[in-house]
Amino acid sequence: MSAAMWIHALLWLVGLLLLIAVVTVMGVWWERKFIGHLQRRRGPLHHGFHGLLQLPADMVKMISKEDIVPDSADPWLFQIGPLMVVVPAIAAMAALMFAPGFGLLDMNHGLFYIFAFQTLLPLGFAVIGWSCASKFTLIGALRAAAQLISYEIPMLLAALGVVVAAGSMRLTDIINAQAGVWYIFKEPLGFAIFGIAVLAEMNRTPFDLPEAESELVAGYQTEYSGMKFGFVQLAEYSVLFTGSYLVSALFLGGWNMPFLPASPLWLLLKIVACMTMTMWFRGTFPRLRVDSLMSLSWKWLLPIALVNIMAVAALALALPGIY
Amino acid sequence: MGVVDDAEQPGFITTTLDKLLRWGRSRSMWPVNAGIACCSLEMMTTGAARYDFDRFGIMFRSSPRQADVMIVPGPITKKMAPIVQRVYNQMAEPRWVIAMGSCAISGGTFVDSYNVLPGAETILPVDIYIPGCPPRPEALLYGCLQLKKLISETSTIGSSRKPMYVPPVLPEEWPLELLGEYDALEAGAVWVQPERDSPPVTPLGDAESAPEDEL
Ligand code: SF4
Repeated sequence: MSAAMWIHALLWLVGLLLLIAVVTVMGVWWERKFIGHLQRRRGPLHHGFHGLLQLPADMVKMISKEDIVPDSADPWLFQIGPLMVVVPAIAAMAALMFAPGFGLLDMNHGLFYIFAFQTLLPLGFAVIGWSCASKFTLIGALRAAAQLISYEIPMLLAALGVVVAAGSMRLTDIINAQAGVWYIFKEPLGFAIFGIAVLAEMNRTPFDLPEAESELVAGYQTEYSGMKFGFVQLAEYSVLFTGSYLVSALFLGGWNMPFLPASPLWLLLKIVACMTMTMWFRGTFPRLRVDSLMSLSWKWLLPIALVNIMAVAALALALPGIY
Repeated sequence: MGVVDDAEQPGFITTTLDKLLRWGRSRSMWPVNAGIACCSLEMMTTGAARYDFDRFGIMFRSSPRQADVMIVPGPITKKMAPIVQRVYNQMAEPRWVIAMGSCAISGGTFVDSYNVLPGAETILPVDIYIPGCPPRPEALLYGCLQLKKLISETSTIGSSRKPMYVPPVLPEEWPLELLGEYDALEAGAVWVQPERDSPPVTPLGDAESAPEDEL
């Protein structure tokens, strides 16, 4: 690699880390504010302009809090647990493209890369839950593992429909293929499956079983105090960002906008809209039971996703100009 | 020349960090989500739409590991005492305790009962007392703002650990757990209910000196 490439990579690394920090801070603030207004409250209000300094205050407090390692916990696994969630969540963001040619790595199999790293997350959750030797974390981790694995398959199949239609796994190609019609209109079924599965992948309501507050205290992160808990939150919001990016890039046209020139601004707007949708769900929907969640995934989403991908393949063969 | 020349004159960096920590800790007090008796209904109301704890960055966390403040909303029975104490011990330092309602201050209505402790301070180091039966949500908010004032006016330099309240002798009726070096109790015979004339209310300021809400 030449020096220029190293500098490019370094700049992007710093930029992505900054992006994650900004996404987490603004995401948590916006979530508390938005859900507050949904419940006819005001949300954070008094610290900074409309509570904008609330998250910095939370972070200062978290950094200065005591770091508890329970006696019964496995010390090694307990320490590396948060890293095992943060690292894949950040690594998955390396393949995101924000405009044609504007991204860290424009891989020709970028979609595959993102899914590969997101699949590593359940492993981190399992390590966290297992290492604490506590009932709540263990149940939360097992739920996370079962849920993420069962939703992975419909999600990948729904994404495969897009790949078949676009003929490429490169994110730039997929988004450019939507310069005319977005895939949400060509594959509405795939969009519905992908949306549901990505919600489960991000552990958001109605699929927030791994950290169900009313049953499991705080789920797999129960035993973490201070900044380790902060790291787990960081990973959750990076996953939320990546998931919203995937929905906007695969189905909502990415940086394309009808009748307007393509711009990264549209992509950003769509990501924010998707994140707000998940927060809206959190404010409105109850939580699913474990068994109904499993049956929804295996008995409904998986067969429909298979039908969807066959239909898309048949249409792509029959109408090569349109699909 | 170091950052700190001597203990009397702390250097620039030390005081700034102290201010930052006090600012952060006082602006983000997360109470542990634990209700004991009827006062907890007022506590829930305070978190809900009309009063809204979240305006001040006060957000209930279910896990005591991630909480900073323990609101004791009600009488602590002798059977409940080890559990309340365990929840307090599970919280990460720095931590604070608010005694909410006359029951948590002194035992209140149940002070003569055979199975109720005379106030939360029998087993916990209480920082703020909120009188009332039950205190209105405004009173709870005011108490939390007083705690915010207390935190932002207490220096973080030096040890912030508050030792557990140690009864003179280990009570046999409601065994306290020995969970760590900071709450060591000495084994003894019978626990005696302490004599008390009036509930220990420590006023921390009046309504005029309520903390400003800017920043
Ligand atoms: S102070 Fe009154 S309202 Fe509060 S717990 Fe005691 S009896 Fe119930």
